[in-house]
Amino acid sequence: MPVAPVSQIKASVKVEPEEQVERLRTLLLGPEADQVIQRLVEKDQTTLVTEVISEALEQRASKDDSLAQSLSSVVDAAIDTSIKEHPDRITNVIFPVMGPAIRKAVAAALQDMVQNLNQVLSEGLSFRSWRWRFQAWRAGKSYAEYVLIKSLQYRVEQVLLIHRETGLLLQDVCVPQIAREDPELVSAMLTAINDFACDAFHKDQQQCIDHIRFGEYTLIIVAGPFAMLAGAVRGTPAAEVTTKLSEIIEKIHLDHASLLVGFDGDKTQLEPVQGLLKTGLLQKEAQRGRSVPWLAYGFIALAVVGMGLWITRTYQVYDQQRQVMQALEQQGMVILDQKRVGRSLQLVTLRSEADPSPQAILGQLDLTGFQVRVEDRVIPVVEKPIPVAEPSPRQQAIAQWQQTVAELQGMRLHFQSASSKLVAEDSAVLASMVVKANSLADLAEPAGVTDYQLILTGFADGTGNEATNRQLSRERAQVVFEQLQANGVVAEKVLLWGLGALPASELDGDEQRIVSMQVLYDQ
Amino acid sequence: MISKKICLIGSFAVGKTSLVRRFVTDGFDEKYQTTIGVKIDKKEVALADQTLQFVIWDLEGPDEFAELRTTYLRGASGYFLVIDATRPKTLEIALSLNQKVRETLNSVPFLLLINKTDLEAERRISREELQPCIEAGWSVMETSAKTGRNVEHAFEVLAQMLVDHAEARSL
Ligand SMILES: Nc1nc2c(ncn2[C@@H]2O[C@H](COP(=O)(O)OP(=O)(O)O)[C@@H](O)[C@H]2O)c(=O)[nH]1
Ligand SMILES: [Mg+2]
Repeated sequence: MPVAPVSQIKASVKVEPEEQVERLRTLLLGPEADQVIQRLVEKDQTTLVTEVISEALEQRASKDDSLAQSLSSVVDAAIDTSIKEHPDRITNVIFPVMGPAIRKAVAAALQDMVQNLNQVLSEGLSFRSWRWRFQAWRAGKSYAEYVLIKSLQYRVEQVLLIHRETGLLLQDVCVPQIAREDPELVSAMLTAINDFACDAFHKDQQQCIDHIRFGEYTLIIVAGPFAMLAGAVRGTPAAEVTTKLSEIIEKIHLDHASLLVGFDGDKTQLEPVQGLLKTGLLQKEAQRGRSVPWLAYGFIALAVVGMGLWITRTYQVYDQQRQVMQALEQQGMVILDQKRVGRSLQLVTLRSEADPSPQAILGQLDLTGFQVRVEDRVIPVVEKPIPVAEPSPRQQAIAQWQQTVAELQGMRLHFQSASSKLVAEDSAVLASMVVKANSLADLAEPAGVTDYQLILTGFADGTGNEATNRQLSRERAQVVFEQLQANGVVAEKVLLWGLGALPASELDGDEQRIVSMQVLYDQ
Repeated sequence: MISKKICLIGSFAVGKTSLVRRFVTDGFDEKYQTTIGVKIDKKEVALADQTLQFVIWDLEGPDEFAELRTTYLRGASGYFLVIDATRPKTLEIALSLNQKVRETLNSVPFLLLINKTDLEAERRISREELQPCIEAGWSVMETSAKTGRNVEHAFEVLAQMLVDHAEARSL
């Protein structure tokens, strides 16, 4: 048999006073009274807590940091859950705040980079590097900064504000006089390209292409959660372009978030951002064009002109001097001395009294700007003729010898056709030849001729054969030789020669049938 | 003026590009389409009380080489579902494509275009076969990019549907 617990046994046998009160209350208020009262009390407590919770937390927090400790884990968990469930929401909220913070960090990093670059560049020793160094020093910039400034030139020619979800153009601005593609098509195409890239590389759709290069253009794209900005830049864009575009897109998100989120295709509402977009049309001109070193060019030009003038003047002076000398010398004047200092010429001349004075000669020349001073020395004219020396006997003998030889060599003895008979008219010539040939023996010694030889050459005309002609011409020379010998010319002094007919002779037949004499001699 | 992005979706060679070419005279060179799978054109559509500007995304149809890039559908306010009247298979593909599109875009207006209706003799899709679509409340229209039949009208109808849809939503 089971045994009941002691307390239960006691209760069943004896009713305590509290129990009696309880029973009475149930009779008076009904069976749910307990629960109702309980609920009332609880409600009171909540209200009570609600009223004091802020103060209580404050009080506790001021005492120690136990509150922060106990809350931190709860808050952490709450944030975790929230980010997991709505990642976009948190990004969208902090987007406008994040930009400036990131840019600050990037600026610091850039500063570092510039310093490194400075070091690298400081090793360059090219002419240009020295020039830039000097210019940087003049401009009060670090060399590296200056190099960057010099190297980057660009112009943002167009800025498009594009709705990210639809790819529709929200607003656009561009510099005047630029041929451009339809910005609406460009917006859509750019969105498509971005979608394509994200798709192809399995990237998050919130990610975005940040730049596209084509030829001399760079398309810089900065994206916010709901819209993106695309800047078409010609040249090499500096970091400041991206920074500017980032600032603009942040500002637009800050000011027009609701319009961007609920965009229904009506872009007129976004017209107020035009001014802001225009601030993105940055440009940096090539510095080279502006900083033409005019001063240096001026000096060079002056130097060139000066040099030209100097060369012209120098040439003029030399030319004038040359003219003076030429004119004087042509008039038979002797220049004894000349000295030129700058544009003044000093001369010492010598001339005969009969010749014109140097002044008269120079008066005819154009010597503007040229000074000539002449010391004119004159030789007086002598009236009596200068005696001519008589030729010496030897000179006379030589002359006579030469004359006789020339006469002998000029003689021609003509013969009858096909015969060794002298023509009648030439017998006088033969007689003369004999006389002159004999006279050579007497003339030779006084003229210093040690030995001489007479050569008689006979010729025939073109008729008849060669052998006959040679025979005939030899016979003709023989006839003359015999005459010379018979009249006293020493036979050893004479040589005979029969040449026959001279081929292709242009002389008449009569002139071809001859005998002539050559005189060879040693002197 | 209100701008709207719309898409053309359908199997390859049903005539999407031809329809756009018929409707629009100028636009990007078609070589873009083969590069990234989409060709973009724009054209204004005048309605009774306002003018809409359509930015038209002509999506390369899915074939054995490429799938439909649903990314391109993002932000579209409406679309054309295009089939080729001479190829029943294209209706089948269109139905499955529409499923995909509905998953990507919330309910936006669209129009089913039965293209190439000039090829009467070769027509393989009967009006009866389209009955289920009509019963499902789809707007269906017969077109021919070749003759130009209903092309302009189709764009106007879609424009009106977009306007009505926008008004209904803002109520
Ligand atoms: N007969 C006829 N041919 C068409 C029509 N529309 C397109 N085509 C032809 O169909 C082929 C595919 O057209 P296309 O526009 O490239 O199709 P997509 O792939 O859908 O863009 C081309 O040869 C077109 O000439 C039409 O309405 N009638
Ligand atoms: Mg096509």
